[in-house]
Amino acid sequence: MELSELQIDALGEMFNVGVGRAAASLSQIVNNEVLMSAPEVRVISPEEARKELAGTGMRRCSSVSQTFSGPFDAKALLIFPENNALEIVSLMMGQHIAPDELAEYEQETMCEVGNIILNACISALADLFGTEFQSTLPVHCFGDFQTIALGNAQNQPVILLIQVDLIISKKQVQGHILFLLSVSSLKSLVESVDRYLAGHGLT
Amino acid sequence: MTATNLDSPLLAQSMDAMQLGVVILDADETIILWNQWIAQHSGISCEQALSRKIDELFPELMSSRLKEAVTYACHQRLPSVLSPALHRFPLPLYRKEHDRHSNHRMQQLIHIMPLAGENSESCVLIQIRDMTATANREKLLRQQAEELKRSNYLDALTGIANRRMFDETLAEEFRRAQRAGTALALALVDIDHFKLYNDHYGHILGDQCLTRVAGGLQSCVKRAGDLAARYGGEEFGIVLPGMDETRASELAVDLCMRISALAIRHETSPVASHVTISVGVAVLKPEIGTHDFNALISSADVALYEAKKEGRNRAILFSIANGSFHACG
Repeated sequence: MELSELQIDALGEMFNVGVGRAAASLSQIVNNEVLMSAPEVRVISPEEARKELAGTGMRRCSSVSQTFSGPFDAKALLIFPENNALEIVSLMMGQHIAPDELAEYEQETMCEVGNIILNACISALADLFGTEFQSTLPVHCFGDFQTIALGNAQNQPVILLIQVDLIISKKQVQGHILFLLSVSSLKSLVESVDRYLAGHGLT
Repeated sequence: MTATNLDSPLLAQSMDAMQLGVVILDADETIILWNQWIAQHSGISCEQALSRKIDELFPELMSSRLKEAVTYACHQRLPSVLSPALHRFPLPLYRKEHDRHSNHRMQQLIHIMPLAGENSESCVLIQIRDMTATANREKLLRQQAEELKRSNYLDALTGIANRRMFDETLAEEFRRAQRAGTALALALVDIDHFKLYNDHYGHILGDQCLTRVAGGLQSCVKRAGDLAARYGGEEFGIVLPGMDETRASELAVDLCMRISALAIRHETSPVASHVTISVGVAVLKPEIGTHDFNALISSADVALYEAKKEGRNRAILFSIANGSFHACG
């Protein structure tokens, strides 16, 4: 299913609102400037998504997932290459942690960072669509870009891939948010977007 | 989703028996459940807490992640977690009374989740776990791991680097010298007539002698990147990256003088009345793919042997380039 440029743009705007909220929350914790943007949103297949993620050349990744349900259902993942995740942990915890200690805190820190970012995105969608979602608690996983579960052709054949650029205390870190969607979920999502566009006089 | 056949009194008792803090807020963020655990560890009783807003009890929460999470759960029905790594002590909770006096807060892991009330109104469940024991255990393990790592590379008697450290450092510095096209110097040091010393003075003094000599050698090896290590029983190896033959020879002489200056009495030494050392030095400039560092070790060894042969208490350099011996100093 193809989305129109207008629909993609609308989604892009929404996610930018979401990551903006997340940046504000993170900066309160770090007590320093945090900027976040979502420069690109795409609707692709799991195979394409994997190629895109594995294309960075890095194998090991750190991911946080929450499953949302509401007007549409989706498993949302926030994925960073492993060394980017460690960079985030270092920046979030303050530089006084020794490099070989960072890995100990990775699980819990990334869990919360993922929770903040995913909640911010879904709450932005909720606000803009005028609806409500439920969610599970965040779960963190160490994984491999080649083998990480990214949905499949049967159940969740569509992936909404959002590139995320994070700048914490002037250091830049890149990652991705993925929404794994079934065909009916994608349909519901698009319907919500269309309702939003119509409500704003844009069709 | 959880079905229960338990009646209210049992559930109420369970809440108070839980070994974690359980707080439930209604849609106005007013406290409608405050369990025994949190009453005990906050010092705020149930009577004091019930029907108050959470902001009133903890005013410093107003602009924080915890407040934001409560809002998310209440108004957007989304769950949150506050990890101890990022928020060690979000709430003023204490493990024991005397911790409160010393303002020693408990480390906390907090989960905040939406609940649906009887008439589907938004309620919030806050769970607080005490993570202090876990954090302390992790800290202890980390300290032990560091201690272990350090001791892996230290000679137990003298406290300087051990043979393992020497081998790894030499190999690493050799690789580096190959890549950068720079020189690598090695000095092998042997205590003269150490067996005679041990036989005459005993092993306790023998150990002390080794330790003092190690200390003396260490004090001459000052540049970052240089390494003095205990190579064998009474033998020491000194790795000197980037040092040329002139400088290495000067250092070798310094080593001899420093050890002599320790003035450790050695009545049975035919060489001097105090402990002396013999030093063999060699410098290699590794071409990529040609030598391996054994050539460096053999050369320093040959130089050391020559120093012994010529009467001990001296330093000799073996020049790898032209295969000749040179007295240092």
